[in-house]
Amino acid sequence: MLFNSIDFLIFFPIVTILYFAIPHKYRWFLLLVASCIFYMAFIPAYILFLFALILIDYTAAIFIEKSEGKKRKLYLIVSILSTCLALFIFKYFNFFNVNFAAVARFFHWNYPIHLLKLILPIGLSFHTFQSLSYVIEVYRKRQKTERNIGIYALYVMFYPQLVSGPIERPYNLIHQFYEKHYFDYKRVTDGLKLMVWGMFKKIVIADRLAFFVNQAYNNTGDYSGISLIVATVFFAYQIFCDFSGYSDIAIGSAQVMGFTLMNNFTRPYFAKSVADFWRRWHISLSTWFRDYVYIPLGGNRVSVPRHYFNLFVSFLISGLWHGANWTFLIWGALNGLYMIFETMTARVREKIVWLIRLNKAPALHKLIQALTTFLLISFSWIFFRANSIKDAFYVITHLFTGVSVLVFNLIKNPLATVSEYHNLFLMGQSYREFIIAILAILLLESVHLLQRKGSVRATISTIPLLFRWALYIAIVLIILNFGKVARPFIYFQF
Amino acid sequence: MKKFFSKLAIFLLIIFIFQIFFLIIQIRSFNRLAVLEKAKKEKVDVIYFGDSSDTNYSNEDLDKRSISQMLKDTLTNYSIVNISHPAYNADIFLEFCKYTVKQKYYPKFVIIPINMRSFSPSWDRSPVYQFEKEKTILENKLLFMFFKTIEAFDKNNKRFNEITQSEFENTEVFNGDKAAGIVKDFDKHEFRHYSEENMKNSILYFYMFSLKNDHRKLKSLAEMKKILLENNIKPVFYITPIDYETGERYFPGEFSERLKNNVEAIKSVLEENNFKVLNLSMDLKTNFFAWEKYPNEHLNEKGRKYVAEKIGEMIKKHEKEK
Repeated sequence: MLFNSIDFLIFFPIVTILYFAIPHKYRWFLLLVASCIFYMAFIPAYILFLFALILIDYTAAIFIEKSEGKKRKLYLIVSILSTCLALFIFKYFNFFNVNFAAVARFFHWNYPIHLLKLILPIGLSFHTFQSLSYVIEVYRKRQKTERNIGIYALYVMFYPQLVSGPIERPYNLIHQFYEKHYFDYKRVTDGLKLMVWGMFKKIVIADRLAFFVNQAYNNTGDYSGISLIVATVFFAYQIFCDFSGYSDIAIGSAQVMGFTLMNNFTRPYFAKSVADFWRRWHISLSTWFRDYVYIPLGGNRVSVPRHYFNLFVSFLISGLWHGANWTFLIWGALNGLYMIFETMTARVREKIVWLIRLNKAPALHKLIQALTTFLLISFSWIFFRANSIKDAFYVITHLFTGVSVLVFNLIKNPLATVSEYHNLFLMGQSYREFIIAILAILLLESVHLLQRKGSVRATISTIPLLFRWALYIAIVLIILNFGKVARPFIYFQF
Repeated sequence: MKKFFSKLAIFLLIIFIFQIFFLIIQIRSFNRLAVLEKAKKEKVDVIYFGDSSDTNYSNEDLDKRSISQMLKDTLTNYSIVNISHPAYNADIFLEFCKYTVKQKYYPKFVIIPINMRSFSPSWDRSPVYQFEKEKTILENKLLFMFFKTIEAFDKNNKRFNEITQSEFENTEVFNGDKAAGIVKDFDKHEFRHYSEENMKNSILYFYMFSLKNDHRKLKSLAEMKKILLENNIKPVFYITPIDYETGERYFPGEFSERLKNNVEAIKSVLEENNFKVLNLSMDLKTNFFAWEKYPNEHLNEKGRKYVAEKIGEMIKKHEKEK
């Protein structure tokens, strides 16, 4: 079930009203049934596969808790391997198979294994990582096993975050299923406001930008220069609004029922470095990799080369997590290299800032840092969005074609240039669409600017009722009248 | 909880009222409908439906008027209203006709162009040429209000998304009865740049199909004819001129033959009991057309004048027959 669907608009109020209407002891069961219905809206049969995974990790965790020493480790390995095997079969088998076949062809080996024709279960990468965090935490003795299999199943399947996160930790979520949540007016309305804002980001901004981005990136050969620059910047906002919009709806809908899910995004395009960006972007995944990959590898408490290796490997795996494609691997590797470069040059950069006295103008310094980070991240998005490595390299090599002529003409005669080159910006869309897209991005960034001073929802609640309601009504009307036709969330494919 | 639900109800009611207001504005902004409604009030005699071939002109033209405006020179005794839009086609003309009779507006004549390209997948299947919203407004305004409100939440909404981009791109393209590829192979941005190969591909894509009697646009034309005749309105169908000379250059012998067969298919559906379709498909040579790089049916001043005169003659003939 998509959050931006009529089905969800009916499903959510029914489940929420029932949740508050029934006695507390039955609520977890209601949520479990609702989560099953939510999941089965995609491919119903896959729920059996999900149940099997739940059963394996539930049992493994009990065995882990009961045993010590090598046995304990063995159970952990069995659990991790079975979860990863499921992930491998559905998500990575064909990728490795195709690449291995290519190697085999090169060496003239006989390699008869065929491709699997399987549809990727929705949200597989998310709920498998959530299951993994549970067994690892049980192994680390930071989490007691959950004996009620229903509650454990709900931890894996809790519908707001089942298919695209945030990837929760057991110690954040499981205890909440036992707590009694009362209907709290402020909490409920705050949750609803967050959901509406998420819908705005998804339906008005992300789905609108998708038309521009898809046109350019699905027909790369037809575009060059400024068109590709616009499409790439638009993609940076599309993916942010798409994914953070989903997270807002997930967090908001959980909040309405009294659950607190972890924050997933904190104004990532205001980041002052790539490391800062990754502390603000998809926080639940970044911290997952930090806790379960980077730190177990030794983190930064190792030799310098090993530290760089740990960084690079963590980002490479993160790239692979996003998709079984070389484009995602390169995207991950590129971010890993950014991080290494940033760590290597930290002192040099500090010295340069001091030498050119940029530290005397902190606002300008921050702006330069944020812009540089945005450009680096946007550049890496090219690999993330491109349909193939070939397309990505086409975009990179044609990114500045004709841009100097355009800039020269813009300076010389701005009006005539805009009228002559407007098609380069529009990519088959109308002026109206382009202007709405730009205005929506400006609105988004204005909200982010306000967020630096505290919660925007809290600020809005202090303004007079009439203006507050006018604002809420305006946003809903904008969603209804300027929203684009529903598309699945980008992160559903992962 | 009571406080919450009462506030929510008030909030939703306000949203509902404003939404109705916005939808009314959107319906009003459908200016072709406004033109039709004005024509009804003024009891205009002739409705001229058109696509871009009505209004497009050559930069060298001294007289840049549309075909429908030129028609007024021939039909001086008639009032004429023009309802044209680039890529309008038989499907939306049918909805306009239904709306016209539903509104109890009975003009003397309705002129309907039959553009050969409108049967090709490039036009017939293109998502942007379906005019679903306009068709829904013409069918039922309340229906439009409902579907427009839920549009952003309804990914399966076929009413406003009759043909998806991927369905369009995967539509087969035929040269006669022989498969020549899929739309994705032909509907490329680069084909807009002139080259001999691009030109040949575009002509194949636009005109070389073999028109079958059960084509949905032919069905719309037949239904339109039936509705109009049942309401004592005379339909005047004319097949727009095609630059067959250029077509012949790229498909010698084949192009004209295919065009003739396709015209016959149209006639077989529409012509019965003395009812005639004005066939202008091969009346004009290349020097009557206004296109340069991308084959289409846009005419220059001479071409538009010719078409206007021919339509005028046909209407006068019908008038005499009465």
